[in-house]
Amino acid sequence: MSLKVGTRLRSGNSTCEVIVVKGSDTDAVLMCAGAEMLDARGPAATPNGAEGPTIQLGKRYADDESGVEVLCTKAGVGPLTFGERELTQKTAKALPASD
Amino acid sequence: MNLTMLLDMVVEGMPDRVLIGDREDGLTGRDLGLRARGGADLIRAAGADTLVYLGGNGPTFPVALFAAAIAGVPFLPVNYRLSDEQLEDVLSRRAKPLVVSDSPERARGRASLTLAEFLAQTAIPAEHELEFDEIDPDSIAVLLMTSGTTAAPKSAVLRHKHLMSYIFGSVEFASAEETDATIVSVPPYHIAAVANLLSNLYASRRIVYLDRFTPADWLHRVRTQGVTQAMVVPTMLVRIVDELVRSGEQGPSTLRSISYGGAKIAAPVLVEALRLFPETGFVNAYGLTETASSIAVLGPDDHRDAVGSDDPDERARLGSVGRALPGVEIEVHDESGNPCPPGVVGSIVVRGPQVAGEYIEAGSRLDPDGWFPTRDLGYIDKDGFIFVQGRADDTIIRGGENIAPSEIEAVLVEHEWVEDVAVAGIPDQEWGQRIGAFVVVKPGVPADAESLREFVRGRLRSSKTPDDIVFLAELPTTPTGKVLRRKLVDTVTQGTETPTA
Repeated sequence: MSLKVGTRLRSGNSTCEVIVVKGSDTDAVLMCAGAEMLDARGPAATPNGAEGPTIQLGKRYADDESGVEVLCTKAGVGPLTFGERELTQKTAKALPASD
Repeated sequence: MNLTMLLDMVVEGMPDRVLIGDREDGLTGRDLGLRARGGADLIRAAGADTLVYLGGNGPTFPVALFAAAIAGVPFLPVNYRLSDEQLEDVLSRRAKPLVVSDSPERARGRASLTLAEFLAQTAIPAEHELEFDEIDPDSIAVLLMTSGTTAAPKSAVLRHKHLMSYIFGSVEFASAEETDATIVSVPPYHIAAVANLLSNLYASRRIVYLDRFTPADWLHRVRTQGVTQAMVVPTMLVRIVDELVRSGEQGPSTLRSISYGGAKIAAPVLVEALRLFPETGFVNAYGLTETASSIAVLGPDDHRDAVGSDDPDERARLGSVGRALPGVEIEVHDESGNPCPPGVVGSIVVRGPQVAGEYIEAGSRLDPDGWFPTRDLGYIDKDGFIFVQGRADDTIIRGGENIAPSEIEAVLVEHEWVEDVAVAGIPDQEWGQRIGAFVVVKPGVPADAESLREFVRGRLRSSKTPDDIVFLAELPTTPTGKVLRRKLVDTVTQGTETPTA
């Protein structure tokens, strides 16, 4: 499955939702809390009590190897993984406020 | 990627933080979500295909913008200073607009509400569910009328994906401190007001509105509301600097950042501003309506480095618009569409996911490679700093020689008599165009055209010396400070003002 910029995905195991900010053409799968992430337009997931780190609202998570980056639009239990590598939370960029 | 997603995140992440208005009685994230939801129901009940906003700055503006987004119809903020004919021309382009205006008679029979009525009717119960429908990211979020300084106004199209690409690419969610606030006094029908609203909400920075700008009111609001960030157009900065010089005060120390953009600023004003606000970071933002706001910024360190430098190339960067934002590519192309080497002037082009480059009346203006021609001329230096020299349409062609007005303006503004200046081409039988310099002099100095011409001749060559010098009390500008060159030229060709030289 290729990840396209702007695609919205939801976790099948928690309330977590993300939007793809940087995509990838590889076949690796983006997973959240142990299950493949699904099209966010489907029905919302019922959290199944999976345990893991909390994916935080508005934070960016990236996989350096593939370049994949997602932005969390709804907080929920993670972790986020891509090709079995765990995505790490990116530190905020220091761009000056221009407006 | 749509505005309802942004609102959803704000409601979720900042439900109780005051984000719009004064700290005591402003709208929280959840208040805004509820009001926007209520406003969307109004739009749907009216069966409207567009929400037209004909009003000033204030809390109704963000409520209306997000109401339109939730309802899935374009939001069209319009200049309330338009004449009745101009307004009718804009409204007639939409099939079934709902007009929010304090002058309902101007809607001429179309569905309308006053700002107060609209806001009152958006109040819905606080426990209301806040689920927003899925909005297609390719649908139109905002329509903005181009200023029409060079041609008839067109409707610039900004789709949800363009605005959100800009926000996701350049703003960090909830990055503002709880005590942060920004002040907005640019008119709501300008891209800067739209972008400012979205980026400050997303950053969770409270927005304080000042509808009618005066430098004294602006300084008062900044001081009493503890404003930490501000965005101004250059004419406002000029007036704020004048006010501080007059009163002998320093700029308010709460201000950590002032961003400016939208038109050219004279270097001496900027140097003075940096002196009066020693602790404030200055940001020059370069962007267009068609690019969903900023595409390049000159940051605070760039400003202080330039002012403090002895190297002329570095010092020149004070007049630069900085470097491209990470989400966009900016190049300078020659007439064949090939990239120019550093330092060589050509057409500035831009591409990236935030670049819309589209008009309802004229379709997409992107080339097959996705580049949008800004119609600005300029160059990029070896370190990537972009220098904008003016609109391609403003280039003066005198006897076959291309002359950039900005080059002559930059010289004249350094003259001690000159308060403000614009240079434009005047139709001429012999030369095709001759150079007109339209000058506002400081109070109490002589209006001596020959001295000014001599000043230019001493610094540029004689073919760039103004043929006509016209003294005016002020330059005609759009509300955001863009000089209306067409009007300047009219003063000569139609004799509405007598040249004093």
